[in-house]
Amino acid sequence: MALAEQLRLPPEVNQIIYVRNLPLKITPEQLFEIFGKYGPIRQIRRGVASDTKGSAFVAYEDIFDAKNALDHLKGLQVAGKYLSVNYLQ
Amino acid sequence: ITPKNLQMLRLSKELQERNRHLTDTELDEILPSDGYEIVKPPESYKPQ
Repeated sequence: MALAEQLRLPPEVNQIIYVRNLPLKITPEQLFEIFGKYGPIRQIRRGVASDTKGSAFVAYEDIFDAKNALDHLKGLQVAGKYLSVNYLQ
Repeated sequence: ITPKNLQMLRLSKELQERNRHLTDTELDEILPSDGYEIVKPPESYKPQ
């Protein structure tokens, strides 16, 4: 890919992805295992209230790692559930 | 400097801005706190 294309990322792409449909009892080790595969993680916030459980925000240090993670995680099945993954709006 | 270089320069500057290191305060401004908790990285987590 020419450098120009690499530099021109779509506007919605950013360092933070929002994930839903995570297993409720997922552990920090599993979270960092699944998401850490795509690059160094800046921070993970997970939902702990009744209406936020099963969702998480995963901030990557590098925008290309976030894009790579999203492209690979879309529709991944974890513990029988299909992950829903989007960029933070 | 050719238009192509100028464009490259602008794109890479823009990318640097979008890819900067976010501070804890910036993350607190961007991400919700109520209903969410920050997950402490496990000891075993060593980013390369």
